[in-house]
Parts: sequence; C-alpha cells; structure tokens
Amino acid sequence: MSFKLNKTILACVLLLAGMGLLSLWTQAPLTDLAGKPVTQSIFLKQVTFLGVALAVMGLVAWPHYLNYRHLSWVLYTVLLGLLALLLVKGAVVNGARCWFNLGPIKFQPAEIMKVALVLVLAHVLMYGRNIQSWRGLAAPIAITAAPAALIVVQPDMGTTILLVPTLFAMLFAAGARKRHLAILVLVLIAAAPVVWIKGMKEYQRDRITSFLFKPCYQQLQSVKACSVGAFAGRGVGESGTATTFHIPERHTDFVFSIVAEDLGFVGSTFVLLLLTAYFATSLMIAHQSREPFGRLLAVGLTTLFATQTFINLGMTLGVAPITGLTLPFVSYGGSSLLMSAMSAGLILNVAARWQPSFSSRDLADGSVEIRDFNPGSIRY
Amino acid sequence: MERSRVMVLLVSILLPIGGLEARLVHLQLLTTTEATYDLANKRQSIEINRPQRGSILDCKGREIAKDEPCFDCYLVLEEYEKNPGALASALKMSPEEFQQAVEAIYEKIEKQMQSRPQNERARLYRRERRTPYLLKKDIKDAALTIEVSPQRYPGAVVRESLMRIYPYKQVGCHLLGYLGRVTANETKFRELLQNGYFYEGFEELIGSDGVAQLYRRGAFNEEMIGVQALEKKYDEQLRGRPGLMILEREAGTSNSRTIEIKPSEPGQSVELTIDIEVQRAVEQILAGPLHAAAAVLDVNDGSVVALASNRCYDPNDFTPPGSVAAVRSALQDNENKPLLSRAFQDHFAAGSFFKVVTSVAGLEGKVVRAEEVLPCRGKFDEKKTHFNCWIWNEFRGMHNDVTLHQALEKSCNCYYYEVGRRAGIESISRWGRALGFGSPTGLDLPGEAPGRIPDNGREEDGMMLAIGQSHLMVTPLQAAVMMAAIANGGSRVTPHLRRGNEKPPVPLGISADTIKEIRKGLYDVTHASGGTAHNTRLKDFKAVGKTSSAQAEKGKESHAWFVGYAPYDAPKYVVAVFMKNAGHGGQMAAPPAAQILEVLMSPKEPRK
Repeated sequence: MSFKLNKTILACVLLLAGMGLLSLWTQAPLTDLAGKPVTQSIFLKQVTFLGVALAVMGLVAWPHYLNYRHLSWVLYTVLLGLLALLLVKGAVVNGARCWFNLGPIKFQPAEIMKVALVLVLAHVLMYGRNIQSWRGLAAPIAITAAPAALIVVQPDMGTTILLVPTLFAMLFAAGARKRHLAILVLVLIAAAPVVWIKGMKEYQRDRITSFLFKPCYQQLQSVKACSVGAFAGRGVGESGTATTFHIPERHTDFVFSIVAEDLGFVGSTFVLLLLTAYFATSLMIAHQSREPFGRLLAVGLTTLFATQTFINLGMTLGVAPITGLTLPFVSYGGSSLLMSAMSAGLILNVAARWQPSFSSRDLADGSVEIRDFNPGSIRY
Repeated sequence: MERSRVMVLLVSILLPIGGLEARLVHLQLLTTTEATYDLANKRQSIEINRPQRGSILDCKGREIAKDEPCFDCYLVLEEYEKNPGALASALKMSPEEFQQAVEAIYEKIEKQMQSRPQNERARLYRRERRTPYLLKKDIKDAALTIEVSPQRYPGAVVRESLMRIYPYKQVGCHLLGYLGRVTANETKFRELLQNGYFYEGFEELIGSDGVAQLYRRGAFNEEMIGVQALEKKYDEQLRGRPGLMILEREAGTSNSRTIEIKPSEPGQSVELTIDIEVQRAVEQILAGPLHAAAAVLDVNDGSVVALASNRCYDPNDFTPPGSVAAVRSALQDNENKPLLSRAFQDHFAAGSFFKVVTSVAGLEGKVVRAEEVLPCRGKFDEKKTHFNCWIWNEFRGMHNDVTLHQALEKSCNCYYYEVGRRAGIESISRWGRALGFGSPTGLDLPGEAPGRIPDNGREEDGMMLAIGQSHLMVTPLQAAVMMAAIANGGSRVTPHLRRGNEKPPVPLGISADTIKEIRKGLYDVTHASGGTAHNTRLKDFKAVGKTSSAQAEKGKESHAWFVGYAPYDAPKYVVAVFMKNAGHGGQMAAPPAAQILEVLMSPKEPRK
C-alpha cells in the first residue's frame, strides 16, 4: 500500500510554523545580555528545532501506526516513572518541579506524556470493551488519573487541565454512554471546590482570582497589543519598536499577540483559520478511518491540541487565565514544537493508512476496483 | 455510531473557534480607539524600583547613615529635542554641563547599539530615544518647577528616588565607608542574576528580554552597593531587594502611572556599638597637624566605642553623585591619605607598651619574679652599644635597681633587655600573638592591617622585641586589644562594630598573680611620682596604662603612644592613643587619652 500524504495537514503545519518564525524574527533579538548577534542565534535555534521537528514528523508517520500500540505502553510506564522521579529530583523553576536539567537541554516529561497518554488510551478503548458500563470506564479513567495526579502536584495546572477534555472526547468517540459522561462531568464540578482549597497552590489561586477580578499586567498588555493591530495590523516588525506595551517573553506563550499586533485582524484570522483547518482535517481523518485505534488516536490528539490552542488564545485575548500553555506550532520552544510535530506525524500516519470503505454494491457496479489488495500485508 | 460522534466533536471544536474569532472582531475591529490612543501617546518603560537601604545606627539609635528621599530628573530625548525647553536653567546647570549630561545619555544609547546587529540599530535607536534616562540626581527645588509646568520642559521626567546621606559627614568615615555604583561585568552579573542575588524572580516577571533591556540600558549600573567599610561589610543586610515596575507616561504631560509588578523590600538597619558623639569628640581631640589615631573598646566584650583616625573624608562626597573634585583631591593626597584609617589599616612601631607583653612572657615563663631586682646602669652591656636605657640616652642617667612594676612605671629598658634575654624571642612572640599582635584582630571591617611580629631570631632580636622595637609593627586597635586582656583579667576580646556580633573572649591562661603585678606597674605609670604619665589628668579618671615613645624613622621624633584602661578598680574602657612622630608618649599621647576618658566619663553624656 502506498503512503498517501494528507496535504492539508502538512500545509497547515508548515504555514503555522512559518508564522511562528516570522513572529520570532521580529522579537527574538531581545533575549540575550551578551550583545552577540542573537537575532541569528535564537532564530536559528528555532529553525533547527523546526528541522528536527519535521524530521520527527516524517519518522513518526513512516511505520504503520498500529505498531505504536505496544510501544506506547513502554513509553507511558517510563514517563510515569520519570514524573514520579521529577517530584524528588527535578529542577525547581518558579516553585514548580517540571523539568529535568540535562545539561543544555531541559526535558519536560509532562509534554511527552500528553501524547503517550493518548496512544495508550486509544489502545485501551479501541476494542470498546465494556465501554457502555462503569466497569469499562474505570480503566481509562485510572490511566489518565495517574499522570494527571503526578503532573498536578508539580504543580502544572495547565497540562493537567488538557488531559480532562481529551479523556472525555476519547470516551465519547469510543462509544461511552452520554449519561455516564454527564455524571462524570457533574462529579468533576462537585470536586472543583475541594481542588480549589486543597489541591492548589497560593499562586495558582491568585492567577485565577486575578483573572476574574484584577487581570495581571501581562494579560492587559497583551489584550491592548492585540487591539492596536486593528484591521490590517501595524506592519511586520512594528511590535518590536513599541514602547507602549511590554509583554515578557512574548515570543513564547504570547506569540499570538505579535501576529495580532503586526498583522491585525487579517493576520490573526488567517492563523485562526489555519488552526481550524488543521483540527477539522484531523477530525475528518478520524471520521473516515474505519479502524478504531487510528480513529481514537486522531480524536485524542486533536482534542488535546485544540484545547491547548483555545486556552492559549483565550489567555492572549484576555478571556482565559494565564496557564503557561504554548500555541502549537507557532510558539517559540523546542519541546512544544517537537510534540506538536509528533502529533501531526501520527495524524498523517492515520490519514495515510485509512482503509477504503466500500460496499459489495460498489464492487458490483465496478465503481471500485480491487487491484493489488493483500490483507496479509497489513500487520496488526 | 461512533463515527457520527466524531462529527459532534468537530462541532464542539468549531464553537470555541467561533468564540475566539468573535473576540478578535470585538478587540480589533470594534474597540480599537483606546489602545490606539495609548499607542500614540503613552510610553511604558520597565524600571527598577530601588529599595530603601537600611540605616546604620549608633548605640543610641542615632542614624549615622540613612536613605533620604530626593528627586531625580530623567530626560526623554525625542520629546526634548522636538522642542527643547529651558531645562538647563531650571536644573541650575550651565549649558556646558547640560550638554555633557545629554551627551552621556547618547553615549549610553550608542553603546547599546554597538552591541546589537546592524539591522536592529535603527529600531533600537528609535525606541531608546523614547525612554527616560537619568539626567541629574537630586534636583531639589527644580522638581517643583518642572512638575508645576511640565509643558515648559518637554521630555523632563521627575521621579522620586532615594539618596544616601551621612548626616555626621566625616565623623566615623573610616567605619561607615560609602557607596558606589555596581560595575559588575556581564559574567558576574549573569551569575548574580542566576543566583537570585540581586533580582530574584525578575526573569519570571519581565522576561529575559526585559532583563536584557534593563541591563543594556545600564539600569543595573545605577545600582548602589557598599564599596568600603561597614557599607561593604554589611551590604547584604543593608541593601534590600529591588522591585520592578512599569512606568507609563503620557507624552507632553506630567500624567504618569506606575504599574507595580513587584514591590521592593527595604534593607535592614545595622546597629553599631559606637557612640557617634564620642567618636566625634575623639576625632576633635586628635585633630592637629600630626597624624593620630585612637581606639576605645569595651574591655569585657570588645565592642568598639570609638575608632578614630584624624585624617578623614566626607562619605557624602564619595557616594554618587557626590563631588568629583573632592574625591580627586582626597585620592591624590599622598601626604595624609585620608581614605586610610590609621587606627586599624596601618601599622607602626610599638615601643614600650609592648613591655606589658614581655612582662607576661617573663612572669608566665617563670624566668623572672615580680619582686626580683634587676640592675639598670643606663647601658645594658659595654659590648652591646645599642642596648641603652632611654634615661641614659637622654640624661646619661640610670634607674639603678628596679623590680617589675618599677620597670613598668619608669619604662626601664635595661630591665626588659634582661627579661627578653632570659625569656627568648619565641616565648615573647608567642605571647605577643596570643595577645593579638601579628594578625588581624577580627574587627568586622574589611582591610584590617595584620601588623608584624618576628617569630624567631638572634638573642639581640629578642631583647629588642622585649622593649617593643625590632621588626614589631602594630595597629592602635591591636594595642587596645592587648590592654583589654590585662584589664579584663586575661582574656582576648574580638573588637566589633556591629551590636550583637560579640564573640566570647578567649581566656589566655595568664595567672591572676601575673595580671596583678602588671596592673600594679600600670597603676604606678599614672599615679606614682616617677611614672612616665603621672603628670597628666589620667589619674583623675582612675586611668592606668603604659606609654610608648617608639623610635621610628631617623631624624624624626618618635611615635607617641598611650595604651591604658579605666577605671582601674572596675575596668570598663580601654583606650589606645597613637600620635605619629610626636615625641614622648607621656607628654604627647597621654593628655589626649585623658581628654578621651573625660568624654567617656563625663556626666553630661550619660552612657547606657
């Protein structure tokens, strides 16, 4: 079977990464103390990341995705161990233990865990065993709860929040009863006050209350910066000269504010459309895939990155609290880019292998012709 | 069924996207006026919120170094040059001075530009010209002039700030030190930043680009740190932690608003053991044409009451902005070296007061008994031509037969040559070191001179060391520490300036009899008719001690010393007075010592 490349996904990924590079180019210089020509260096760093990320995307798309089923369990177990280890040995940054410091590389297990979890959940749910009963829901919930618990105590609220809608979307797509899911949602809502009081650190509560009652300065600045973009934007690079709105580390979490300021409504809508096209296409791939693992994989990854996108854009536009989640493909940062590309690779993989769906009538009237189809060639 | 559910998910993903698009429409198409106005008229800059530096207090709680509010003038080049007002005259600067200050700002911007790649320079230049740069510190009344009619002085920004003030001016300058600007190089700065030493959490709040911006603008170079003495030693406690704010100004108006991102934490104050009024009095007593120094310690815990050197500078001149002329003249004054405290940063020949150490070595080493009578014939030995008693050199006289306390009273050299010969140089040197000579006393100030004491040598060196000559060099503070041990019954104290820094005195194992005999000799110095300092007012304050007239340089008068304590029945203060090239200790150093004791004991200045 030949590899069928989904061009929409690839185009979206490349264009989004391009927008990211463009934004970085306008901002990046201001990150070094040394007076070295850093524009080049930080920009080149991101270009290198992008190269690596695209290579990884290709590598991930190459072997049949069904081969990842068992591998994912190994990855999941190892990452779970690393997350536990992190609580003891991780580097403390801003009071949170999210990183392993491996010399020049900072390694954040939670980032990879997001994708590993989706793979494992897809494997568990693909056969739809007992999915209609509470018993069948127990396993996927437990599989999600374990990393979620380890990530929430780091504490990394943002990543934890992503896992919940991902689990729900996958349960839903796997065929769980709506009644069960509704009850689960109610339980979560009931648990919220407990989490608020017991589970959250002071600064996390502050972030949410400050969002509700007194937005913090980064966000106010970001909203205004987006606003000045107006229809056509102030022009590429103009955001770097403004002495009006200072947003720290703008090229990472607040990267969308650069696009919005420089390219205005036109540019930001373009980026939003690219993201929409990406998510819609990957859901369409899920829809067309007849094979449940691939379908669930696409659903899970799409929900995961879509949720992350919504939270990030909501933060930039002042309608969601600050969580420190990046904008997939666009934000500066190696691990974010790498994980986004990896998920795109998996989706391309699913898209490439989708089984032709046809009925016997199609065969009879000759509209479908079976040529060199050999069921034995697919190794599950 | 499952596949149709995917379509439900698709819809549920499209909904929030629609919401975000609606938000974009709202922000970018419907409500742009406010933000556009802000963009055109408001300028934001990140500023460091300097913390109030802790005060330095004397033992009675008087502030001898403090931060006082002042007004600084900043200049925004773009606005100023568009329409230069009469800023120079308002600031009472001559046109040349003003021009120089503006050039300095341009230099700062140039420097930043040079460190950036070519393609960024134009943009950086534009941005920096809109950023307020410090033009003049402490502009006093001009602040009001500018604030009242800002439209007459475009580009001028007045900001409240703090200035280090030393209200007692040069009093205690060697103890207080002064502040200077940090000129941390980049590596050092990064290191400090990483350790959160200066700016913990800055990076999280304003991003590394914000920190880089501040750094390149030289904002961190405006940071003041202690560069001398107490200001340096206790810099960490005094400094506090700077905060961050965003300063938002509306161009052409005095409207401004600060967004505090992180409040600054004021520094802690440091309480001292010195009494600034006593310090002032001591400095006045020492004033005169000769270089002089004095140390006054508490005999029991070593707390410094006054530590004076009579060539001073004014720390107000040294702390930026200060006075360049005053600093230059102080630095170039090689004759007086006003930056040097002769009380603890320079050493001198000791002379006779070292006989106290020799007495300890003799008595403790059991080479001489207190009541043992040794002869003084003016000359110690016909063969040793340099070993004469002072009375022979001056009057061709002799002390005849002397015991230990008579030898101390009359400062007989021959007696101590003999003791020195018997005890040996190693023994005397060992006791000298135990009593605090030859190494820093542990005073909590940087740059203490260690002095010098020979550890071994020929017999003649030992004999010379016995009378405090030879290679022995001591600081006045060391002399006071030695005498404190005699006064408190044989324990070495560690002198300290900060209250609460007491280290327990170290008992040296000197027997009570030894102390008693030496004290008897010291009593006679000031009280007996033959004592070298009996003719002074010292006895009025129950003071006892030992004089010195140390031969220093050929052709010059000897150094005059008086080292003693008071009152003898319940020792409280030890006083060491040193007058360089002044002559006889009894005539030159003992009277100022009496004056100092008068200040200390005076009922007008009741001490706690």
